[in-house]
Amino acid sequence: MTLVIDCTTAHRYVGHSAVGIVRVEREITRYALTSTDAVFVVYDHNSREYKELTRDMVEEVLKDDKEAGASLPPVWKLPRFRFRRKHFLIIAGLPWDNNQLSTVYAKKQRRQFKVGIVLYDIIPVVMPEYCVPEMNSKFTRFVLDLAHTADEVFCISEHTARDFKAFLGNLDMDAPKTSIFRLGSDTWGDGDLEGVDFLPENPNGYIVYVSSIEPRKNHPLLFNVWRELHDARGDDIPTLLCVGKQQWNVENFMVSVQLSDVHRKGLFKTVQNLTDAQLAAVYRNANFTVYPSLYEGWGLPIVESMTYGKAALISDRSSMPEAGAGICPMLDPYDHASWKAAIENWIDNPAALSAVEQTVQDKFSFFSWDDAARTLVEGLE
Amino acid sequence: MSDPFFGGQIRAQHILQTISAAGWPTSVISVFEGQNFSEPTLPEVNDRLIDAETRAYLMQDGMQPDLDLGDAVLRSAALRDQIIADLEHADSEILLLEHPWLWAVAKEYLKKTDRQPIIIYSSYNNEMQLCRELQALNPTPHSDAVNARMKTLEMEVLTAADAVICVSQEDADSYVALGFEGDTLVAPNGVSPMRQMGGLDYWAKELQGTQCATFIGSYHLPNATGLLEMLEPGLQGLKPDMHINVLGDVCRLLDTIGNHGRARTTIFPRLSLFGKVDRPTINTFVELSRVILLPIVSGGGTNLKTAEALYSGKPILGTTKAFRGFENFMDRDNVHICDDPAEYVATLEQLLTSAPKPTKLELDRAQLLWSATMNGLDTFLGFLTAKHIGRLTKDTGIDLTEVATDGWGTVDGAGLLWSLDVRSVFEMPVSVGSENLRVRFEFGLFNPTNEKRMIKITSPNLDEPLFEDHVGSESNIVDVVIPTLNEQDVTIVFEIDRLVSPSDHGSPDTRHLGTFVRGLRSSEQ
Repeated sequence: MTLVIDCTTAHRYVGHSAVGIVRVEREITRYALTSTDAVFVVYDHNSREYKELTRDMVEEVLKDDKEAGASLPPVWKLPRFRFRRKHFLIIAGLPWDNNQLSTVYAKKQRRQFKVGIVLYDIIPVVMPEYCVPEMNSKFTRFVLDLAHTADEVFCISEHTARDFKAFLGNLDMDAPKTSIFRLGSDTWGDGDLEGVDFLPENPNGYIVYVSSIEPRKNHPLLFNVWRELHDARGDDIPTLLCVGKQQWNVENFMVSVQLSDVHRKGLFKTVQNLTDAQLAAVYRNANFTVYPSLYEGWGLPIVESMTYGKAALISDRSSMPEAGAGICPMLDPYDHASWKAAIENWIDNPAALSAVEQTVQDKFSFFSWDDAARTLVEGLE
Repeated sequence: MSDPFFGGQIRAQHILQTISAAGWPTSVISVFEGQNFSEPTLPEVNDRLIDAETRAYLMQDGMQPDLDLGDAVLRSAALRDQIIADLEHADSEILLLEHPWLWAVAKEYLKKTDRQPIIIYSSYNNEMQLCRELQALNPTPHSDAVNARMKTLEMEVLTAADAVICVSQEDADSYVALGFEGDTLVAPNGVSPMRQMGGLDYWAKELQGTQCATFIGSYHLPNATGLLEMLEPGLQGLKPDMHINVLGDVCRLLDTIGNHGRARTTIFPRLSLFGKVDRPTINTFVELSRVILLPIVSGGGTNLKTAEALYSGKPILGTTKAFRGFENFMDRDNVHICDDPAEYVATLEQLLTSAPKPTKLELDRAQLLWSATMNGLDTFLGFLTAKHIGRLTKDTGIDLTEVATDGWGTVDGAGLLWSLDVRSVFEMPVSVGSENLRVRFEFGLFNPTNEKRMIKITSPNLDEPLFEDHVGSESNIVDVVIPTLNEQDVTIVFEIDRLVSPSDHGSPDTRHLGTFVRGLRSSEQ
């Protein structure tokens, strides 16, 4: 069996911060580079063909450097890749964006190779109201295509696997072989603050929420908690630092944030496009983290928080209890009062916070990206 | 009408072209609500755009833009007067209503004019029946009132009409069942032979490697509900390289009424909604498709889409209703009829999975062309004109016996004025100031042996004959324009090569007869 790693998403986002799915694809690719017989491909939407990348090109794609990719040739100039029966194609990117599985399915019918696809969640299927328009049909089509195409589906949580199987079950469709692919989490840097000039200068410290800003992530809950804390306590509160890009359907919310006192006083702050080292500095220097998302396929920032030894208050929905591993206190993401009380408790009772931090140190089992990629690949063999 | 796009507009344009090509002077008045309006490009077309006030009236809750259009136009004095002026200017012998919607305006015109035109209701559907189905699909508190207004309107038009042109025999039968006693003509929808494609290279590349079906529909509720109903079992069984291309404004309807619940995950992921595209692009998608979908489960009339799909020669997956008016084609190899949704979806999967069937161009597909489907229209209008010529003539105040000066007998019991000489003369009076006299007469022969005889019609005012031909048994209608000279009566001379006596053929009638004239009417210009 020869591994064929689809690097389309990493290739597309070369030079960008490795967040979310881009991170996963990069880490699997990085691990596969250690195997001498792995090959690397990128999907060319215009020709509906896979093109082969040399190992040097892959190294360039993986560089954590804003200038990376400058030496890469355009995709249309790359040689076409021919699938063979011995190939096992791993797709861990965003194949729903360009209807890629239609091509993979057709090629697989002719060449009889195997296909494994990482499934992060089926949120656009179960919660279309929290997605961008068009994603609803596009993503649902991807999930159906995946069921027809994949020999193995790597779900990033038990919860996602259950969602996937339940969805197909409702349609009287058989699910392909499904396994759990636990995402990794590494630590970067040593907390050095050189080049980190965005941390709140607040003597009370800061609490961090690492997540893109979109309706499903439930930022308004935290915004209102902070407004109430400010009303009750004045400026003597920690800052909430939201780390992540502003995405869809939050324009009005962001206007409210901009107009608020908590924002003007630096008590509710947003930053984005951080490097791994900058993000490490954020985690290492935070009082604790929060994660009140309404729905997730996994909840990587919960794991990252614990990787840095930080306690996290997390949502009790979907996959987040799995990510919290029974270590982090869980709250109903629709229960504003509980979140406010829990946050105030950790602000006012350092001992309570320390106790959870101790539990994190005692019970959290570190699982690196290398572990994650190796487990996936060895699972195939 | 100047720039037809929708099925109804295309049909209306072909009716106009057929009539015009047959020599009938025509004038068109059409009313647009703004959307899809373009400035007229044909000189004989009067496209009238409704004003803001009328549009606001039609936008009120419970109003129907088509059903209530006539009343809305009457409320706008300017628009009403404009249309009535258009009608007066046209001064037509035949008033052909495309749809019943402007009947209220036509009635106002008929009150004002002395003319009694032949009224033809050109129907696209049994509107009462279609309205009931639409209201049942999308019931509102106004549904009963809408149905009642529709019934009143269409029944009123049927009562007033001398004739109905229907798109299917089923529709014609439904009107007869409702008590319509006039003449009917079934002129099915057709297709144009030109199949120009647009963007073929681009779309061929976009769709390469995929097996696709195509559905085309306008913003018409049954188009959307039909597709959703027939696909209700779900398309989850379609493979990743299979999908359905949807073209036309039905896409907006589909997204609004259907993209939720189970259909959101079982149907819509396999639909590619392209929206409204131009005709060449539609032809391209048809060409690139393995199968054309005609999932019609309600509505009346016949479908342009069916004719177009049949003419394309592509495999068709349709319902029985989709083939209303095209029953002769249902047993073709590449036509698949399924009325059960589960069977429909299963057949779709099979058609997309199996090797593509070649396009099959049947030799008899020419009968689908507009030229064939509209073939009877000219004869039908001639028949109606002849049938009602007395009524048309009476309006002009011309009594045949008053203008028949030499060579004519008297009007017989059948209303025919016979010439009793090889040369017979009409003297037509003209008024001061008129420049031309427009005359129409219907004439024929006593011709028991069906032997053709030469008839020549002349006027001293013209060098060329008005008519000169060998005539058999058929009835002839001639329209002529004769210049008037010095305010004198206009002389029209009928000449025939010989007379024939009925008594030579066993009749007691001993007259020697030449031509007969059944009706005569004239207008001055």
